Amino acid sequence: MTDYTNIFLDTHLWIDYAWYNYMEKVKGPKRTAVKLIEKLENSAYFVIFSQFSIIEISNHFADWFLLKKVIKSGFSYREFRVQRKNYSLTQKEKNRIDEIIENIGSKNFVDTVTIKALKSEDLDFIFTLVNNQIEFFDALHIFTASKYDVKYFVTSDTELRGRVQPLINKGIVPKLKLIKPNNFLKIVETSKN
Amino acid sequence: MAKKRIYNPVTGTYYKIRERTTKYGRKGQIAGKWKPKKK
Repeated sequence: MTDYTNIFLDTHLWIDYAWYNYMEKVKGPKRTAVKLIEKLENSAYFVIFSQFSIIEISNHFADWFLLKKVIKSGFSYREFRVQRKNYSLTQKEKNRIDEIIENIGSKNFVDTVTIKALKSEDLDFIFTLVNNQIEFFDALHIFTASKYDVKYFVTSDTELRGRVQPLINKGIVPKLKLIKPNNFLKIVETSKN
Repeated sequence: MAKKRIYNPVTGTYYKIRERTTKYGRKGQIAGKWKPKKK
């Protein structure tokens, strides 16, 4: 029987993968995220996928659809943040986003998890991360990873790796290896051979 | 660990999550959209 290891993929890796696989006219050379996610099929790794990741990925594509509408109405890219609230997604666009989430979540190496309730110590943990200049969504991802016994947290975000590592060293964040996608791809390839 | 459904507030959709591993799929996979049963 295979021993599976839980890993966490930062949202931007799923977004790269989704652009390549599920959006039209964006094919190009395969990025590391795409290669890595393809290699995870039949590997000894389970990817923890949370509601926070679902929301971040969905927001990214919602912004893409809304940005096109804002620009089409004559506003500039800079005005997007202000104008965004005046536009909404059509049902067709919502369905596109749902398709992306369902495609990601239906993979056999993805474990979609739910956080049923946040205890006060969980909030303390999340806000400690935020107070250490970690963005709120990244703090939620680190929290999820620590709840689900994740061994590797794969991210290209150098800043995030640099900010979390001292907290791991101090014992504030449980043992977690923050690793670049390229380096993790090598680990997956080695373990498959 | 896994609950029956998960909510996406961006699209207003609930997704079904497999609670057990069977020949049709593995526990934790999203198995399509969740809709309430018709009465």
